[in-house]
Amino acid sequence: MFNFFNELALDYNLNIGEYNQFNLVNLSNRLVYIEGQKGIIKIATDCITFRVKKGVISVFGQNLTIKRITDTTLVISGEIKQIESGV
Amino acid sequence: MKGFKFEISSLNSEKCINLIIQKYEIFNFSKNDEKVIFYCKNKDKKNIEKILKKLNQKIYNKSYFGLLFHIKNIFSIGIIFGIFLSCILWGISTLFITDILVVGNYNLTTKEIFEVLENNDIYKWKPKKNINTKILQNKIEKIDHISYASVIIRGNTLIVNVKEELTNNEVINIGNFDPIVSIYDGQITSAKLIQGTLKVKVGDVIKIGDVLVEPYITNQAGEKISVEPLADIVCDVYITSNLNIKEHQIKTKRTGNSLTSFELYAFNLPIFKKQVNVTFKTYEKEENEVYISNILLPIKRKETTYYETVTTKENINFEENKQTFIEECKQIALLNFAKYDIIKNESYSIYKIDDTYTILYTLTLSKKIC
Repeated sequence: MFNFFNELALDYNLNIGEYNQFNLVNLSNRLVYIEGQKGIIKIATDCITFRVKKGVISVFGQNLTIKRITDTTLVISGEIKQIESGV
Repeated sequence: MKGFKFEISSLNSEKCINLIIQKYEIFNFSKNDEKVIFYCKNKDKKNIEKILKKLNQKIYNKSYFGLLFHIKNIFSIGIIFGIFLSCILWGISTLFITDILVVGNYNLTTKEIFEVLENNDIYKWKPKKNINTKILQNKIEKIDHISYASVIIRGNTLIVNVKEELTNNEVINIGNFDPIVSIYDGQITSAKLIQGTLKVKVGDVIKIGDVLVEPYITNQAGEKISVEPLADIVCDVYITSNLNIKEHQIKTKRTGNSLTSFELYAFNLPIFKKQVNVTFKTYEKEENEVYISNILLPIKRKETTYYETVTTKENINFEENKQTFIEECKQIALLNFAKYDIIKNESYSIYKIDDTYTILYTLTLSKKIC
């Protein structure tokens, strides 16, 4: 099956195993798509924080909502202002 | 969007979500200070609810969303149950006949056909599968004066269509018959042939003596077969009457003065005579014969009475008595009015020649002429 991120890693000769911790796509600061989320830490209208492998990601903004969430994927919509990644 | 909506307490909502998303998908998750709203697939709702209960998460509200939500709102359980029950009843009712319809009988009564149906155990609410239409058809065809019958079940109705035998008058009435001729002047408004050859059509203007129906029919071979002509023909007949009224009328009246002379006869021989001198200028004479005795001696009395008369000239005021004259004229026209005739129109005209008024009254009758 076609996977955008795998194809991208292959194009740039990246080790898929090493670069397959999580993937994040920001669409015009309106929608953020995350693959590889490991659990929600905090949900608020101005901040959504979730775990990823070996780290935590926080999305800041206004009117943030989770449009879709499964065990590995997450879609956040709203006015996204900042995305922070930490260990 | 369709699915199931949960409104839960915002306390520990992250923990709940993390547990739920391990197995199930969640959409449109939004959170405010008090509540968390999220949606899930319908199939997951029970399991998600279990998880929420397990975590002692307070559920404020849960409802269907999307099409199911509207269906749930529009149709209450009672209505849905009613519709379901109706469907079942309708389904059951389609297995039975609920009505019996008899068509095509003109001389035979419906009751007679119903009797045959009842004898064959056909009644309303009988299961359709127990009705053999072909057998029923044969039995109905055996009724006198029925030449053909068809029995069909359409929907929940058993339809019995019968064709009655036509009375074959052609066979009975073969012979020399006279044609039907018109005895009126008029215009045909309806012509229904029963037997014979129709020579007129609707709209034809007919005169007295015109042939309406010829006493024969022509078969396929072109041969003419003599039959009694029969038809129902209705036409508009114009009946007119006239009344003449003179403006000056000369009338003779008796004055009351009279003279009587008489003669007695025995065996027709005069035996006594009383003569009178008639001095009247104008008179009327009346004679009367009476047998006084006719047993042994036939004696006859012949009496002649002279009544004095005077002649007067009377002026008739036509305008004053106009309505009376018109009514009189109408009554003359109505002498030709038969029981089943229908008056379609009536009119009159008045004209005057010299000192005589003439009223012409015309009645238009719808008359069955044969």
